[in-house]
Amino acid sequence: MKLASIQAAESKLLLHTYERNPYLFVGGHDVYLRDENGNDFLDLLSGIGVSALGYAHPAIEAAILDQSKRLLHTSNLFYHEGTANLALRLTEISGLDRVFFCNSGTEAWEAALKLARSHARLLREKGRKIGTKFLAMEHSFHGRTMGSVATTHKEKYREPFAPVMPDVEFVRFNDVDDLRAKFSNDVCGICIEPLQGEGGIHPVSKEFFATARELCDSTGALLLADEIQSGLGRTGKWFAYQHYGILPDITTLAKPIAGGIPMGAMLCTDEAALGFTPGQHGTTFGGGPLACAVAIAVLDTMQRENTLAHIQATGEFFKSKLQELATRHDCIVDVRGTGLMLGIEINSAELAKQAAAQMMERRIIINRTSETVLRFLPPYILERKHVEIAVNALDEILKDLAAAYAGTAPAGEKAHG
Amino acid sequence: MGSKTVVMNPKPADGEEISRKPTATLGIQSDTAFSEASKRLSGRDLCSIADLTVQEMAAIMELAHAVKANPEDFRHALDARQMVMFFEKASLRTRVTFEAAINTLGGNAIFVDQTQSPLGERESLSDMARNLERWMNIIVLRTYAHDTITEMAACSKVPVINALSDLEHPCQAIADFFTLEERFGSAQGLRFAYVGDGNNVCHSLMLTAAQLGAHCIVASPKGFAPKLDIIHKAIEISESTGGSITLMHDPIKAVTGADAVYTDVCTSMGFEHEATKRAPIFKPYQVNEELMSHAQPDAVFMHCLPAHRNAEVTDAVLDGPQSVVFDQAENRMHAQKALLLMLLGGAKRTASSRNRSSQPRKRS
Repeated sequence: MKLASIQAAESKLLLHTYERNPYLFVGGHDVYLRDENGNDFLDLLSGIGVSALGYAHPAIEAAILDQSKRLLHTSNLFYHEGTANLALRLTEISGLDRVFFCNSGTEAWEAALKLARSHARLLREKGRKIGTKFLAMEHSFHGRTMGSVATTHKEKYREPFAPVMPDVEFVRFNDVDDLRAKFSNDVCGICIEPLQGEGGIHPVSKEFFATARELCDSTGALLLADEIQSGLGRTGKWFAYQHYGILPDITTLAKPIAGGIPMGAMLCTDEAALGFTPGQHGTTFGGGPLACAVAIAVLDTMQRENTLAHIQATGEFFKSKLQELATRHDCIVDVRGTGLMLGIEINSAELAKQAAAQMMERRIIINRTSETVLRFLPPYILERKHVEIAVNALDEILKDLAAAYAGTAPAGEKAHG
Repeated sequence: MGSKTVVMNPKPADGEEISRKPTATLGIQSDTAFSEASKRLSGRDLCSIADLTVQEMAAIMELAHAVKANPEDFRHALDARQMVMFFEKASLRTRVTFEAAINTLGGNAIFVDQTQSPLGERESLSDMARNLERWMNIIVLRTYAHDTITEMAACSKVPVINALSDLEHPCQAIADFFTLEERFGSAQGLRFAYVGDGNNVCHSLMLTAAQLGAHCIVASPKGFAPKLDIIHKAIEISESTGGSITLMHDPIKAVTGADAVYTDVCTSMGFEHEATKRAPIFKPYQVNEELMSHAQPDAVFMHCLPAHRNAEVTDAVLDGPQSVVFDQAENRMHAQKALLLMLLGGAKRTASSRNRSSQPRKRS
């Protein structure tokens, strides 16, 4: 089936939830996706941070093949050898104590919200004064299910589905005074993405993060770190919170964890874990044998090949090249991010849109988020040569576009950090 | 980033002096209360420490002190009572102390070695129970699976005692806290640090500490924490006794200021295949003189034995002046005597037990 036929069929059969780009991919290798005509596209988005080891990685292929011959599903009513092994690996690298496996980021975040509410209920039963409210951040994005969307800031994600989960208040990101003013005994959890992705690659400030930790400790509220996009190596450490030396009570993982196989995980401390008792939460597919086997293969590969160091080095190189680019192009107003989670802010939403589209025409995949930010979430196996190809292309594109958009007033919101 | 210390329930903040003022009355205060606890325990099973109420635990402790002080008072308390012991695992202390206990109370023990034949394999547990209850007054089981014990208890009309399962080792924990009471006057308010695998022994110790109002701190490697439902239960109990349960990964923090430091083997029975993998993980949790130096100067060292010398504990600590491991071993017998007396309806309050002080420990 060709692209046109697929487009026609989808338009009659699927809910219209995505604006798709008109490309049909049929394969991939290394950091490249291959389309129906055999063209390779340099992928600097990796399926929004999912394909961490690129495409057709032999370790993932082997894990899938091996596990698929043995066992795909057992349900959580029985044991298999993958869950405890993977949980041990994740607790070792995270500093947290217990794991709940699920299928996606939003499902992991739902579990985190439920656990925080339930934990607060336990504290209330013990006579502690603590409420049910969440403090979430402006420009946050936590997912699409009803709880996740309630803690997601952008109105277009929430308003059509109102009423969403109540008792959520938004705090100006990195505004310590606003955080302190809105925090009270009513709060059961503070929700933070240590490095906001959808919000435009904005890192939390150390002071803000530390204040959130301190406030939670003062009442027994939980600090929830959403690492669905930034976790599992993306920023050059296993978790972005490890750059700050602050341990949250709960963190969530998903995108890269099983290298393209759907999987999510919520990790928490022993204390937070007391919030759930058997039967209070669950999942049919979460922590299945296939996803666990592939996730273990991803972790094995990353540890064996010292991928974190590679991410740090390649990320620094990438960021330095983007900073050089910014010196040549007035339209770039900021370069942000850590490791291989980077973004450049453009002074015009339309210019950013055109730049992303022209990169695609040059067979380089990036995306635009928060209207004005070009976002880079490449596979961890990205090399310097790929960075140079991408930055050189962007350099040429911005040169061409600059004339057309000269004098365009800054659009969208500037850095809100 | 340091590993986060998780304190559940009223705090003893790490390393801080803990108030030893009791927040609940745990000792048996009257003949009536003792008598009621004895009556309730008669004919019951002991599968888990959590089967006992705080008052019942206190009554067992009190009786253990009385039995040890005046064994002759109980010389014929269980005359002609028959106790059968089925053990799927090897045993020195448990077997000998149970046999010695029933014999010196006037009863008789029959030991059945099941190390080659798991319970329920040759015939069903139900059929076994229906036979045994015709001949025996009490059944003592040491099993791999805790379910074997609860199933036998459910099927049997006579009491069943858990003499170790994969989930708990209640007899050991009762004897251990009896030892602490001997040493410190009361377990209430004591800082009890358990370092190592969050295993069956650890589970029973947590629950017993909670029932007696002690502050229990468990330091275990990642992946070797106690089970969550046991933690839940221990916290719930400690809320009524003024005790607390704290989990952490740092052994030094755990023992800092401790009155008692407890460890067990790194590889419990049944997990021998993991011994090589576990050795390096548990190395930082070895109780040695350096680690003990962080505890109170008069802290005791405890171990349920058998010990793997110079693995989880050094010779210097195990054989050193702070070690009470052989007191613990001796007290298995006295504590189990008290248990047998309670479950078989032979308990009685004596003048010595009634007058026993249950005051919190006073530091000199």
